[in-house]
Amino acid sequence: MINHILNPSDKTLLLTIPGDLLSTNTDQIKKEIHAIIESASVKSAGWTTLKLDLTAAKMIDSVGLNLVVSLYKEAKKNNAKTTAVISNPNIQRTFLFTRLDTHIQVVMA
Amino acid sequence: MTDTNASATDKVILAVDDEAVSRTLLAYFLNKAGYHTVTLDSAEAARKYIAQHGPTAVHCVVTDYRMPGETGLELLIWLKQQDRALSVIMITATTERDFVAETLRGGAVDFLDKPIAEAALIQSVKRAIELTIRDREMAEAERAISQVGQTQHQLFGLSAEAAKRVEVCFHPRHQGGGDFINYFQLSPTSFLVLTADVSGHDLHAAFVSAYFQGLVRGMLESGQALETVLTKFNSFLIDEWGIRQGNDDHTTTQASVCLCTALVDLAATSLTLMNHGFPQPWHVSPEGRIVQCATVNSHPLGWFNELTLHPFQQSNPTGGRLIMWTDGLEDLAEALGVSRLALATALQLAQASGHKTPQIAQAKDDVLVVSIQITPNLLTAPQWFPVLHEIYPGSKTPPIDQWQTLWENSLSLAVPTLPESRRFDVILALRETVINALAHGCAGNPELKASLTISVNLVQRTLRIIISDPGPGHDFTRKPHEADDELADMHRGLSLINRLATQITSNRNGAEVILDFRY
Repeated sequence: MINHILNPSDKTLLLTIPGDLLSTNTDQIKKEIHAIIESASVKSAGWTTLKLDLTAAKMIDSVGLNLVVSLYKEAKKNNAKTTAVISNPNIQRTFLFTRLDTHIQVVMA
Repeated sequence: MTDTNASATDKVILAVDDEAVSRTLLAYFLNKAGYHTVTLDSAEAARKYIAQHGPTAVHCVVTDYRMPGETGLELLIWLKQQDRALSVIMITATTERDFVAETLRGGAVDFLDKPIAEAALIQSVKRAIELTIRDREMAEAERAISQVGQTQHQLFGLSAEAAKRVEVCFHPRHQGGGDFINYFQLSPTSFLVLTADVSGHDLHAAFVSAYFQGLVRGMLESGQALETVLTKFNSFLIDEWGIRQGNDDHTTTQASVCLCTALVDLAATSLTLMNHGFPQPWHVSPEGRIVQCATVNSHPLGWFNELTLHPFQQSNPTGGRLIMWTDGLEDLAEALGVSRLALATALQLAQASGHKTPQIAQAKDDVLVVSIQITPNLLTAPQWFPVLHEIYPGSKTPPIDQWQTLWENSLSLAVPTLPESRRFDVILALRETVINALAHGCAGNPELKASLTISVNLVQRTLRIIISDPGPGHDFTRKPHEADDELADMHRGLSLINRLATQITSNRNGAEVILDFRY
């Protein structure tokens, strides 16, 4: 279950991912996130920052990274920037290896 | 064996009570029933008697609980230290009922109320004597089994010549049993290793084991072929020790023997295996490749009169090691949720370093692991130890999370020194390459299979993963960052693998990939 919070003061859409992002669960997560982003309340909010809370994740594989990239592209279309909040140094290395840290701001919690 | 029905006069009863009237009454009742009764007035006097005559000279002790000096309970505890089989009956007053539970916990077989009733006393003493005799016989049998077991374990002690080639890791779970290994130097360049598991964990299994080892050695030394030895022993198990029940179809045997023989000829570079109900052996090449030896698994010895021998011959083996184990290891690996190879490696490495694998305590059966060097020159490069070998069917959505648990457990057990961050890299690369092999290499077709092996070289501190599928191949040479395409949806898995592994080698156009992880 993906939780989301819209913060009108800094126009941030926070999406909290409950665990790992892996080939075995990414399809379901992707559907839930798109339902949130396409909802009327979120669409009309005019958010300018997409914040992905990945602090519960211990592993993100290539399929999970593809989802992160698609969300980044979605945000970019809306002229919004993307931030990933993580807590696991291994995931930080994964972002580094795939050079996604050059596009997405990666913040250690 | 002691006759429990022997006459009562053979049985000595100690009656311990500080009150003279009670002693007289006890002696009267017991003597009348035919027992030889020794009356003593204190716990100290009873100790002195036992110390002088030995605990086995007495068949039952009837003692009052409350006595000046030591109580009956203190005497009971001391007696149990001398001979845990000796039955003790405690006499208590009705006001001392609270102590009954305590005396029973201490090992008393019964308690009697004061004043003593003759019928209850005689009935209780009769039962106590029977218990003493039964428990002494059981203790004697345990001692005998333990002694045979110790002798049997000493048989694992290999000669200096054998020890150069064979490593044995044995964790007995039972005092007696039938797991064993024998090494026979047949010529300066050839040797035979025989590993076996005799059914049962009792004195009988130990005897079968010892007899078989003697038979094999004697027949081989007199020039008999191994096939002849096995056929002879099979007949012996059925004809001599089997329990016949009318006809051959209903013959059952008291013991069966699962065994695997490995005949290694270093000069001819040939390896011949024969397997009779034994778990399939494995071969680990000098490059860390792991292959299950395709022996034809025939039935164990002692099952059927006809013994079909299926020698599995491999010419020009590339050296490396053979690894085999008894089924006790397979049961334990399943219980621990680890691969069998990982457990075998963990046990061998722990033994080499003088440690004990804590997980072995969970074993329900004897565990025997044997590793045989078949490299002609023993002074070769550092060895690879096997961690895992799995065959997976093609699938677009494989149950990778379930497999990941097995990978993680096996790596943690066999390579505990692998740093956590490197373990993460290995697991992530495994997910990517295995999914790639099953979804693309096998085209998702469950009829097609991909293989995964993991081995570790402790000297080079390198973990080697080999993934092979029957597909047309993959391009694993893709260099990361060679184009500014990190936002493309394609090849992210390949880029990751390239960054995670220290070195990637591919064969068959990438249908087989070898990933090395230094740590």
